[in-house]
Amino acid sequence: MTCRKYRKELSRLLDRELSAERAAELEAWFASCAEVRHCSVCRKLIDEHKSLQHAFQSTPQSEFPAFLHERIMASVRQEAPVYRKQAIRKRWQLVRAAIAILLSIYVGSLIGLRTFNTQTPVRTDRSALRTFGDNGLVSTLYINNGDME
Amino acid sequence: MKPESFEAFLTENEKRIYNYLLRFVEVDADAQDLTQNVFLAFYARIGDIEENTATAYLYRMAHNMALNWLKQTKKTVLKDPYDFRNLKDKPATEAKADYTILNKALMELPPKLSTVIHLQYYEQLSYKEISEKLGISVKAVESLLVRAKKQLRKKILKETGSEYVYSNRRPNSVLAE
Repeated sequence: MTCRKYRKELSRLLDRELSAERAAELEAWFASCAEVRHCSVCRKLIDEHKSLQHAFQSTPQSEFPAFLHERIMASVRQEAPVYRKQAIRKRWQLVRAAIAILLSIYVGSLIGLRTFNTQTPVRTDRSALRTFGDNGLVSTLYINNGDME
Repeated sequence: MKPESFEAFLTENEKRIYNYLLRFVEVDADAQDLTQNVFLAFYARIGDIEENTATAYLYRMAHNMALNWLKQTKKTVLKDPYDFRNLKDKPATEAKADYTILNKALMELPPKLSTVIHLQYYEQLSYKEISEKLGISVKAVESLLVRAKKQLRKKILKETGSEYVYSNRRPNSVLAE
């Protein structure tokens, strides 16, 4: 193990998130780190981390004003019908949008079918006759086309 | 989330959101107004919010609304010569410890990172509790915290030009205060 590997767990160690066994192992490592391995980085990191922790913890917490809860609830009660109406309007907008999309797909496909679904048969090359022989399909196509000799 | 569960959610989160916002705006009355606005905005969208990510959503909302509020007041209120906050009439002895640098650094963090810092340091929640609150894994909480602390250290160092060390003591135990 190296300092670098232990340092990965430093944050969890200082936040007391490690098991007692693991914490003891890491503590022992960091305690002897500077003397035994001449490492200055670990100590610096620990100090920085602790400074931050201390700065946060010494910041005073403000008392929550008791009246604020009721004030928020009163304004929520007052606004609730408006929000409910907005929510219903929003839901209806979604339904209308979905209907519009479905309608446009339906009308689009109807128009497409009317425009492109003609009875004109597909023209085939005369070489098809030579390749596939005089089968029913090719003959029908030529007959409908009026090209059959 | 159901509108009926709003009051319980408010009771659970009002204190922490108020304290979170107070670090941004520093004035009690402003923090109260902002807290009210945040919860009202939350209620307006309550039907679209998932229960397990509601706290994370609330913090993100509070963070963004506070930043917007700060932007607006910078443009208007603080330039107003009649704004009482601008009057320097307090005697020097009344001066409180200055947490401006710390709060400013916290404000500049992305909402996700400042939320985990707030929950861990100010609310003193464990990684597991934070993960349950925010609807993310414990591993994700750990990595967010490491990132947040790294960024905070960088910002504070940049601001102060020195290390933010509070004590020169070198205790034997790493965990000892």
